[in-house]
Amino acid sequence: MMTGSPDPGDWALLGIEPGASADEIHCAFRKNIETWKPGALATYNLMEPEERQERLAAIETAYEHILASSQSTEATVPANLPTPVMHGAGPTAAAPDRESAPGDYLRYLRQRQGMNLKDVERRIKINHVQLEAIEEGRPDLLPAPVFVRGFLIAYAQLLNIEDPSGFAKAYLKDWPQPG
Amino acid sequence: MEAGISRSEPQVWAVGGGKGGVGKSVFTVNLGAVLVRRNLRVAIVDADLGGANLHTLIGLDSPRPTLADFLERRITNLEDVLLPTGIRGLSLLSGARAMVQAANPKYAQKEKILRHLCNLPVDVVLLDLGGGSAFNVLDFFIAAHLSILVVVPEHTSVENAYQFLKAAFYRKLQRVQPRAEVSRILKDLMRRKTELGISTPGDLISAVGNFAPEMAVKMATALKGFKPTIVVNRVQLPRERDLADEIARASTTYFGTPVSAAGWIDADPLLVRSVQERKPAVERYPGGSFSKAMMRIANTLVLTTGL
Ligand SMILES: Nc1ncnc2c1ncn2[C@@H]1O[C@H](COP(=O)(O)OP(=O)(O)OP(=O)(O)O)[C@@H](O)[C@H]1O
Ligand SMILES: [Mg+2]
Repeated sequence: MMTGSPDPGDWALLGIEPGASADEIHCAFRKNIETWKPGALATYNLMEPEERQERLAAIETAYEHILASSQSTEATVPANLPTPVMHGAGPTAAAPDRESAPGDYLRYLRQRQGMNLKDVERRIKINHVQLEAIEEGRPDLLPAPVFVRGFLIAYAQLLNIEDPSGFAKAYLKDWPQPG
Repeated sequence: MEAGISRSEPQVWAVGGGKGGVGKSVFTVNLGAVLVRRNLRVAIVDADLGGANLHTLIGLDSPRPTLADFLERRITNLEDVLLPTGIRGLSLLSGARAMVQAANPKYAQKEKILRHLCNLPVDVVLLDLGGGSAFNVLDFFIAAHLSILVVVPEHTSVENAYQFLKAAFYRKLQRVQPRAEVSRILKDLMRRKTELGISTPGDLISAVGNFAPEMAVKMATALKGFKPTIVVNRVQLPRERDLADEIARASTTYFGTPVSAAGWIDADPLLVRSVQERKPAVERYPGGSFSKAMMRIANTLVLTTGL
């Protein structure tokens, strides 16, 4: 049950107590990214750019660990619900490729697990409009990549995708850099 | 708690900013004017020797006596320098016309001032510090029970706030006894800080711990007693409201010692008008956004200090 549980440092890094609710976890992640992202007024000139990158990476890892552990203790959506009716693709359509069409892959898995965007919004506290933008690969509708990476980790985690941070990294490979 | 008749020593709250013009003085005056409504006796102290102007904000032209009379020993009892402000429960220790030498008192002199401040017949002493992070400012800032850092949502102000906090942490460590040895060790470590990977007070204490564990414990204890809290003033955009929380969060994790957020204050033309009218905004325009923010913040500060 408790395998892969985050160490106390992970919670401390996000500034929350162990056992915080899913809501608090997602909220703390977003606040931390807001605070430490490159160009943030709140941490202007507090540290060297490399140190900032290390810190952001540590925050992401902590978030991922915490999400993974809260998934294993929370009841997850059964992965093999009866296949719902899908628009465009028939029930027998092959799964989109995880590498070349990661957004379609997310949508495919979500629908296979019988969830609509609002269900996902309720679970991981990411607005359904942004979730749709993620599935459609629309950087213009989404915040900076540092945030989207967190969204992707949470979403991938929810859908039981293997190696969520690897998935997030691959998804954002060709994403336009801000500035 | 019967604060009004308590005989205990006052709490000293210092207001610093690391930068000029961020609103330290208007914050101090208005915080004082809000606190007296809780039946607390408050002294506001113009510790910005050399740039004193609290008297101006409160509507007094040439206050006498002033801190200069105390520092130059014309008056021996600091209590005798307290001036009424016209607001019940609020008195002023004016720094007007303090001499240039007095603007940079020796450490012993600062300790003497602090000792006398703690004997004033009030419940709270609010110290309005000057801008910058010179020792005369830092030493009052780190000695206070509560250290309030006023920041405005501008890069220069945030940058100065961090420089100020770093300097304050470092100064706090420097004051640990035995001072000569501590100062020698700190100097040596800071000279090699890149090589040793020291960038925060926490790193510095760990480095000390490698060869002087007892001293490291004393340093950690000294830092624990230092409780800075952040106020963001002159907020114009909704997202700037989060800045105090963000700075507090960043400081806490980066410096490894708790820094809190006391809240945010709108940029408010009524505050500017109250300055022109030389009356505290909370008295003249109690319904204005500046005044409402001051009441909210006073509430938070009273709760956090258990006043
Ligand atoms: N919340 C506010 N809304 C609008 N104007 C403000 C606000 N706070 C401060 N100001 C403006 O900034 C001016 C300077 O404020 P104040 O004298 O308190 O700054 P200070 O930090 O004490 O400066 P110094 O470092 O010179 O002592 C005020 O006279 C007022 O015009
Ligand atoms: Mg001032």
